[in-house]
Amino acid sequence: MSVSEKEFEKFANLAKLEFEEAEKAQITEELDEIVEFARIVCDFAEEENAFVPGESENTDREMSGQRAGMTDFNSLRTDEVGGSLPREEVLSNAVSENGCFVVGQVKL
Amino acid sequence: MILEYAEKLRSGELSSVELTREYISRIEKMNPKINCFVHSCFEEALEMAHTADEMLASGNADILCGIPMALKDNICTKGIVTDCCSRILKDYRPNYDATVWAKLRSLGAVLLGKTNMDEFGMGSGSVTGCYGPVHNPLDKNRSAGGSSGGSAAAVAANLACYALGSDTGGSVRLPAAYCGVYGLKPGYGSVSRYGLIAYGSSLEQIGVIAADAKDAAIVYERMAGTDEHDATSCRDCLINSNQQMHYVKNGLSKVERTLSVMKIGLAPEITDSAGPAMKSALLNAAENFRKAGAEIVEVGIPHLKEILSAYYIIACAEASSNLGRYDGIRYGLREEGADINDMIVKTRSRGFGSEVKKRIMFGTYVLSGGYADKFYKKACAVRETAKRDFAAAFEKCNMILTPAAVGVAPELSGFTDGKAKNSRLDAYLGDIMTVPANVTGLPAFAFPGGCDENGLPLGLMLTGRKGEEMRLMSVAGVL
Repeated sequence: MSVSEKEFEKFANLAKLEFEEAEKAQITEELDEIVEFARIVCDFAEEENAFVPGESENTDREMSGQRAGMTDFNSLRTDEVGGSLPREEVLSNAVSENGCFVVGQVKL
Repeated sequence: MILEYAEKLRSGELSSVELTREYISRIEKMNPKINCFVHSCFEEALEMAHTADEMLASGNADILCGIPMALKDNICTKGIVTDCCSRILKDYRPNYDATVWAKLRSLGAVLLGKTNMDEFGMGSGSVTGCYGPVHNPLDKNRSAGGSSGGSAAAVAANLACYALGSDTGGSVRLPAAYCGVYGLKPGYGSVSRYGLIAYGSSLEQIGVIAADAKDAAIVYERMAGTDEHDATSCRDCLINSNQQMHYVKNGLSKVERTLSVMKIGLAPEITDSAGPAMKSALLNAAENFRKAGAEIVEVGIPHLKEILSAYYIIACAEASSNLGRYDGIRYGLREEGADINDMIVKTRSRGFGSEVKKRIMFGTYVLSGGYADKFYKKACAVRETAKRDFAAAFEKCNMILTPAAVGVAPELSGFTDGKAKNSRLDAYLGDIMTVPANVTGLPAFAFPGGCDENGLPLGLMLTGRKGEEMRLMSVAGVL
C-alpha cells in the first residue's frame, strides 16, 4: 500500500476534506493505483532530469520557429490601482449581512 | 456551416432571431435525450439575436454575427450560471465575462446556453458532473467523451453551430473524436484563459469544437490573441494566425500545393496504444496525405509513459492549489459548521464530487514535504524532456499525425459500473494520445478519420509547432 491511513488523514487535513469510511476506502484504493503509476517519473534517469531554468522558453522558441516571430507575453503589467467591482456585486454570490461576508467564529 | 448561415443572414433570407428560435426548438426536443446543455439562456439568446439582426442590418457585421453557439460550463458569463457542473459552485453567477466570450459577444455571437462537462473538467467521459452523464448523439449508450462532452455532443447533434470547450489533457479533442466533429486545442498562450475557471493552469487552453475545419478556423481566429488580463497569453499569435489564414481562405488546392513540401510524422510510441480499427484509420489518413503530396516520415517520442505520468502529477498538483479557493465564504455552496474551519471542511467535502476529491488528495500528496522532490519536481523535469522530444521530432517533420483516442467512444456503462469493465487507472491511461500536447503547450487538432465497422467515428489528430493552429486545421481539412 502506497498511502498509509496516517498519511491519508494528513493529506485530507491539508486539503480541508473529510471522508466517510466507505468513500475513504475507495479513494485510498484508487490513490494507491495512481501513486504507483506516478512512480514512473521517480525512475526517470538522473542525467535526463536536468532542469535548466529558462530552457523551456528557449525550446518553445525553437519549436515555434524564429521566422514566425513569436514572443511570449510573459511580462507583468504595471502595478497600478484600478477600478474594482461594486460591493453589491462582490457580495452577490455570498452569504452576506450589512454589506459584509458572514463567516463562522474562529476557534483557536 | 457557419459560412452558409452567415450568407443567409447577410442576404436577409434568414434572421438571427429565426435561426435562434430554430435552435431553441431543437434543444428543447433533443436535450432531454442527450443532456448536453445544463443551463439554457433562451431569453438572453433571443435578445442577443435581436441585437445581432440590428448589427446585420447595418451592413458591417462579422461572419459570426447572429450565429447560435454554446459555451462549456466553466467559461464565465456575466449573470449567467457558470458552475462547472459542481455542487460547490451551485448557482454561481459570475460578475464578469471570460475574454473569449466577451470577444465573440462583441461580434454578435448568440449564446444558447452552457454545456455539460465533467466536474471542473476532471474526467474523460462527461460523467463526473452533478447533472448526470452526456449521451453521445451517435449512440445514446456511449460516452460523448470528456470533459467537454456537452459541447461536442451539442455540435454533433446540431444543437449549436459551434461550441467552446477547455482542454487540460484532451478535453476538447477526445469528445470531438468520439462525437465525429472537429476540435482544436490551441497552443498554450494563443487564447486568453481569463474567465476560464481554473483546473490545471499551466496545461489548459480554451478550444473550439465545430462541424468542420473551416468553422473551427473562423472561430479560432476571432478568439486568439493577447489579453492584458492573462499574462500567459501570447503577443504575436494573432499576427501569426493571420499569416496562415491564407490556407483557409484560398481553399484546398493551395493547401495541397503546400502539402507537396510538407513532412507529416508518424510516432509509433503513440500509435501503438491504439486499437486495430484506429490504426487502420491512421494509416489510411497517412496514405491520403501522401497521395496529396506530403512525405510521411517516422518520428520518435521516447518518453511517452513518463509524459502521461508527469501530466497527472502536474494537473493534480495545480488542481489542489486552484481548488483551494472554494471555501463557502465568497461564493457557491456553504455548509454551516461549528467554527470557520469546520464550515470550510464540511463545504468542501459535500461540495466536491468523488473524482475531484481524489485528484485534490493526489495533488496534495505530490506537493507535500518529502514527496514534492520525488514526484512534482521530477514531473517538471519530464516536461522539459517532453518539449525536447517534440522539438527533435519537428526537426524531421512539420506536424505529427496520431490517433486522438485509443478507440471509439466507450459505453457509458463502463463508467457508471465503476470497476466492472475499466479501472479508473485505465481511464487515465486512455489519455495517452492527447496529454503530450498539453504537457508541451503545443497546438493539436482532432478531426474525423473514418468510422469503425459499427459506424462509430474514429478521431485522428495533428499536432504542430507553436503558432501553427491555422496550418493544422487547413491540412486536416484536406481529408
